[in-house]
Amino acid sequence: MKKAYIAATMIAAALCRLAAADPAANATTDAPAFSFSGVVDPYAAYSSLNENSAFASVEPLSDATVYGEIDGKLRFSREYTSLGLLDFSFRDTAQIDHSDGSTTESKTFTVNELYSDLNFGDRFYLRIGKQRLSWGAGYVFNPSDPVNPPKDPTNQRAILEGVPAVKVELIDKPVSLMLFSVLYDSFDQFGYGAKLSTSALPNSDISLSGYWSASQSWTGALNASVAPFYALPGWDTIQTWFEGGVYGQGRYEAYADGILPGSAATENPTGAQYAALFGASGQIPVLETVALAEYYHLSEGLSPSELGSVYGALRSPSPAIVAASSSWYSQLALRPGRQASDYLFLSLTQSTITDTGDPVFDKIGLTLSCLLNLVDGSFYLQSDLSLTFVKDTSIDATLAWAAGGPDTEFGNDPVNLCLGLEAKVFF
Amino acid sequence: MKRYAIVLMAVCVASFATVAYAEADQAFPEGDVHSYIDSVDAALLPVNCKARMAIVDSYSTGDDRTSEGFFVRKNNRVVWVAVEPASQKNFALLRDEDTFFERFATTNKVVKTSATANSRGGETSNLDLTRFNTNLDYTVSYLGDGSHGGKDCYRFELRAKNRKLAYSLVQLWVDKATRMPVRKAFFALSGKMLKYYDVTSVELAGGRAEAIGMKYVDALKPEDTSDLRIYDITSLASVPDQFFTKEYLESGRLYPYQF
Repeated sequence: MKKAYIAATMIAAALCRLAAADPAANATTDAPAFSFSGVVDPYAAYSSLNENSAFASVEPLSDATVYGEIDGKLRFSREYTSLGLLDFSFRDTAQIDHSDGSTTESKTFTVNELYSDLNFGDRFYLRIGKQRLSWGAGYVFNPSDPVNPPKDPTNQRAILEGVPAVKVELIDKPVSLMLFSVLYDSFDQFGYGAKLSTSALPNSDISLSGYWSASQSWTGALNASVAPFYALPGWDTIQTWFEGGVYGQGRYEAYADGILPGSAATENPTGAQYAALFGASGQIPVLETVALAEYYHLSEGLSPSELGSVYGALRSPSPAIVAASSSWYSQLALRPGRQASDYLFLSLTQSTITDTGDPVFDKIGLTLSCLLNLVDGSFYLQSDLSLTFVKDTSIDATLAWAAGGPDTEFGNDPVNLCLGLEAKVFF
Repeated sequence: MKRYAIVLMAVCVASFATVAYAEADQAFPEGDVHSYIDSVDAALLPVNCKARMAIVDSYSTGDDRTSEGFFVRKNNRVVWVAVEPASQKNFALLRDEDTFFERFATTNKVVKTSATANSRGGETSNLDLTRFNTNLDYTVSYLGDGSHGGKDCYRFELRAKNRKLAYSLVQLWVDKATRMPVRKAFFALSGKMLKYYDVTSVELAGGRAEAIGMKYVDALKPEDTSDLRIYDITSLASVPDQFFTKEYLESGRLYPYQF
């Protein structure tokens, strides 16, 4: 992976240089330009730890977390014929251990994207380098996305990294075609995919995609977004979307060995699996609140009894069972919001309380969202208060609450309650 | 006798209507209204062009907000990209004929949006930021002469061809001497004026605008205004069609030209 990433980075940089010196670009009238933008983001959080969590005995928990992050984007462009982008995040994190008060500091530098674009004619372009391949209509889950790291609906501050890839896209009407290859360490792990998208049907955007890699089997997917009342003023903000994926083997099937024979009755997900997401959103007139709802189903998600068995085993007093169950920790940690078979996500967003020039209420935004595990009834609730009294600065206070029974997903969240304070300075 | 009277009356009404229509059509002294409006639009903004835009929203509360952006136009298709304030940098609005998309400032996500929404905030709707081809959006008829701001003008009535447009009825005053719009007033279905803008400044070069300033006023709350200035208007020989697609916005290539 590392080799491929380095190779992609070098190629991207070389292409950037090549594009800047391309004699064919002489037909353009503008000189190459660089721009730098981003956000400086100090964040502090205090957590109320969940002593009853199955993870409480194994996870290094902290009462308080403080970090400072710089997220920057350096952009090179020469008209639309060539473009280069470096998107990076530097994060310095300090965590205070709840048991002995010791502080652990860690620094990370992540190149989220580093790529170069080259245009050939007015319709065709090539992008090479580390990139986020855009995928799926879903806000909290993308069942059609076989490539990007999965979203974590319980961690909005997670850094979204791209993947090393080569992509060519033909953008035209009524159909656009994207072909891509995802680069991994060895050639036999490479993935190949295609996406066909169209807006030919009135008020709709539809895409069909396919992906195959020898190591991950295949994925077929359909995305459809429809604004059914787009022609009616007042109703034109209502949108619906569907995102579905079918794949040759379970994406989370690493747990297929079972946590311990006989201790949890989980069935290995074998054969083709599927996941589907339905969503709808609209803006409430006058209030201008945006309401959004998403429901999704995973065929390989666990049933109530399976979830209960898994968490029961993880909290077992028997050291043998706990030891044999340890592989579950990493597997469950990889799939927040995707452990069970059915979920509902609800969100209300008021970007500003008023938009009338009010010196106070125009600067206050509110967001309330809830991810509900429909299988076990546990939920993750998050509220956000955003203050923008200073230009290019946003102060955000967030409150997250995870709750549920003892053998449920969010009932076992290591943190019951988390209060965060964040200041974002945009530049 | 009664039958003759009805026929005679119908003939009179038809003749009167024909004459009135012919007079109205001929009353416009510069020929075809449609062509004239096209030339007014072209003098303001070339069909293929790029330009920068600065907007100051002022409220009765004394609160002001400033924002800047640029746009690329190809007839009735427009990409508008925000560059200021920094928190809104890379927010983009796409108008592809009657369909609008917005790209959020901090993510690559692109979603459909409404013509009437004001994604940017202030008194200017998404349509206000991208409405450059009058004849494609409205059916135009000549109302007569008038004057506004001390200028001799032609007055036109614009009726929306599409219900999606924010205002069903618009009145337009065009300066006879420069062919530049002087005032545009926007009405609700009920006939109540909702909003208007006055052209506050025009910099001309070769009969074409290089920069234009407009003041949008909320007719229901006249203290709330938006001063919009379009400048660095540059004609382009051609503009690729791909700019005006959802896929292009998703690709994040928002700076096709240097601004």
